[in-house]
Amino acid sequence: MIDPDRETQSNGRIDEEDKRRVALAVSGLSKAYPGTVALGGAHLAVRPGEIHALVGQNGSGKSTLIKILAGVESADGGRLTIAGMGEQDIGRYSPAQAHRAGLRFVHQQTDLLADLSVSENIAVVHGYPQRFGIVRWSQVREIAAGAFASLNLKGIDPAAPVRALRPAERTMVAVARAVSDTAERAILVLDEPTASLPPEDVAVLFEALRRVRDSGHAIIFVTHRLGEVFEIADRVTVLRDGATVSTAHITQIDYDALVAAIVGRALERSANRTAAEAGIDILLDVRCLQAGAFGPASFRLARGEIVGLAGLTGSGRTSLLRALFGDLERAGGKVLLDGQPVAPRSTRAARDLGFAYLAADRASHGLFPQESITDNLVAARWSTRLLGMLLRGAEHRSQASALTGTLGVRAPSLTAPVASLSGGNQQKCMMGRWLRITPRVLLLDEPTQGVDIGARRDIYQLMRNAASTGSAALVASSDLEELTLICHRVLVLSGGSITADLSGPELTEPRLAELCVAHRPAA
Amino acid sequence: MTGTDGTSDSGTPRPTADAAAAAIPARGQRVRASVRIVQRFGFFTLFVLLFAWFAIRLPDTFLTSLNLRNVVANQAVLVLVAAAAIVPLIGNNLDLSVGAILGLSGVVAGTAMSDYGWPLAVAVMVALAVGTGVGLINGLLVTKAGVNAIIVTLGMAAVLGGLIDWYTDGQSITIGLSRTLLRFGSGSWLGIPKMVYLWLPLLVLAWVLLSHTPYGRALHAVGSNRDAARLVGINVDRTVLFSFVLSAGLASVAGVLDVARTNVASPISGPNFLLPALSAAFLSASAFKPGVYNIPGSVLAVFFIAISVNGLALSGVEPWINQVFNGAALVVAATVSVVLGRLRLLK
Repeated sequence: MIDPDRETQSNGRIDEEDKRRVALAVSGLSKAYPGTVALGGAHLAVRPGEIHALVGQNGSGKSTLIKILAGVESADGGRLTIAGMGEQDIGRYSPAQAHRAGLRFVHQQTDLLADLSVSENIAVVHGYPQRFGIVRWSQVREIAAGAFASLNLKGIDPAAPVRALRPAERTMVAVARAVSDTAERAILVLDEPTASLPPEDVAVLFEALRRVRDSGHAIIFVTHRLGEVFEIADRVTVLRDGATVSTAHITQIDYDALVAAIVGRALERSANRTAAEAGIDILLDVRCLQAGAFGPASFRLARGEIVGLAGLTGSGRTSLLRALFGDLERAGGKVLLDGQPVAPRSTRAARDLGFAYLAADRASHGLFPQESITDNLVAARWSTRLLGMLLRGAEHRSQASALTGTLGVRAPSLTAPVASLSGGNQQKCMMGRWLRITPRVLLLDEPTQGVDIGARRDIYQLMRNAASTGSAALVASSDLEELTLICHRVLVLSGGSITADLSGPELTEPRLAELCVAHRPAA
Repeated sequence: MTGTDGTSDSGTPRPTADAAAAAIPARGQRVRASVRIVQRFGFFTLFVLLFAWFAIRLPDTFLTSLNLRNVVANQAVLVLVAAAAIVPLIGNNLDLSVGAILGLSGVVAGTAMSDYGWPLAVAVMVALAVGTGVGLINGLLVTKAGVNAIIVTLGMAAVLGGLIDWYTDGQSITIGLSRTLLRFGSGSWLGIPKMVYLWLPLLVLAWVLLSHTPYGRALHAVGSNRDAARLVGINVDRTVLFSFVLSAGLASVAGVLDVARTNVASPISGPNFLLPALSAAFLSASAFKPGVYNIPGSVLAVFFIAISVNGLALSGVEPWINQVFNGAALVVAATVSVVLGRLRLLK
């Protein structure tokens, strides 16, 4: 446990006393990718027996920092010191070295084998105890039980199949497995362990993590949910634009200060919001709609309007979009399009009504990877002749070539498979597929995920163009900056309800961040 | 890490690829273009070379109109079954019952003519209807009940095999078959086996359907990415269902042709076509449209194997080479299309 009166509030510096007590220290770490600086001046000092939260916006460099710690990416410069191992040669630091130094990583989607028992999941990684080549199952179970006992974790039956465990317990198994082969104290890195957990499980996991901490391991806890930081962390380090902006003991920072540190006060106001004139001509009227994790909630969308949906995973953003597109059954409510009630029962019906839906996961829900760029672009509706019996191939080709022109897609050949394009160009194709058939309502889920800044700008422009020609767009995004940049108005979702509707000067990134994580209904 | 830092994770390294592509456009494109040509026509070239080699080495046995006509006539059934296997495969469903449906259709047609004395046209209609009905059941089980296609069609093949055995008592039907049908199976017109005049137009139609109609593109889309297909408004279930019906229809036609060619409705001939048909279907992805199962590719594959086996047999090689060749071609084809598919995605 850490000693409460030995705390420092260094801004990225590590003082002398700290140096003797750190489990892991990183200073001046830098990493550049062509075109972007992912990290420049990142500092982090983690002590044994503490839970250290690592927070920052998307793109702040958290992932890059963790990848460097894991040895998967190599840093361009900086220093890395690990207790018991001394300073590491940053240029030669490898995953094997990270492992030897006691660093253990547990990812969001834990890679457990659901059909195997808890104890076998541990044995499968660290080796099966054997005698004469035969697995000794009793020992397999003992090792698992020992791993839980050493972490003070209770209540998990080593013989149970992982499938039968609740989500928090699975994370606990992953944690136990990660540290079970370290005699020394481990440095455990948890990357958004709560992202896919139901709320009641978060408390269970936190209780377990406290016990793991109390048994002497250090935990680096990456999260987007600021409420959790105050609940679980002993200290917090904030990254912004690739640099550490502050490290503080949790008792010495308050909520607003943390948000300010994450977002940075100097926000540039975007000049593109000309929404005043929008909002008169209602295109989409959603009344008490209820579907999946969304609702019941009501809102309206005007012609020419770009409305953002902010909220954490599970807040109902995706449910809303899928329900509007007829891909998720409605449990209640009404939707009026242009004053007419619509209730599409299939994606095809929704498409024919003028809805277009871009799913968040391009690879699994958007692309036809081996199909050509042309075939991908025209897939939303084919041009046909002879009563719909034959395709107009030549027309498709000329449309595709015109589209790639307007989209700014750089492709060697339109007959090449779409998977050969870069992520940004693929995403532009996904947008182009829908824009080709001029939809009335664009439903976009994370439209710029994994897309570089240049393509991002192009995609924003495509949205604005569509809006300016009388369509409306509903954009769900975890990138709050993006929402303030492109949206006339942003609805904040929390637990399925709309808790805020921000526009004008109220629509700022810190305000959104606060509303998303706070679970406080806005006035 | 898991995509939470969109910008720093997957976004940033990409400009490199773009920049690299922009920096060496000429050479990169030329390499890509030549790779593509090899991929598209490599297999065809191999076929031509093989044909030429046999033609030069065996001018008196291989390169005779009688031998070549025989080779072409003997493959009539296989090209149709191969096409039948390709249709569901495009939608990413493996159909293991095409051979059994072929057998069923042949036995039904034979029984109708022999036991009931029905005219040829009626017998053929009934055979096609029964065979196609089996495809409908396959399709319904796969789409509505959501059972894996391999399981459904494997079970269906076994059930059909058993039923045929029970009904025919394991006996082939040789008497009472329509003479018109048998003459069609063995005759030639303008020097080309008559059956070609049936399967060639059928395959052209199937090719047009799969490549140039909304239905065909929808099937390709479903095979490429089911979820994405649903989200662009394609009716996935209906598309898959029809692919099984169409496949069974083609297999049923093949069944009737098998009777015509062999002069017998055999209860055991069906399953023998499964492996060669699947080989040809998989091989088709390494010709003309690399990485995509296509009908012209399957026709090429069928004749590539036929010519090889025929040429080797005429050179005095033992008949067991037939099986070895089929099996080896299947494995080689799968390997080649995987490698080609990977090359094709290279920037």
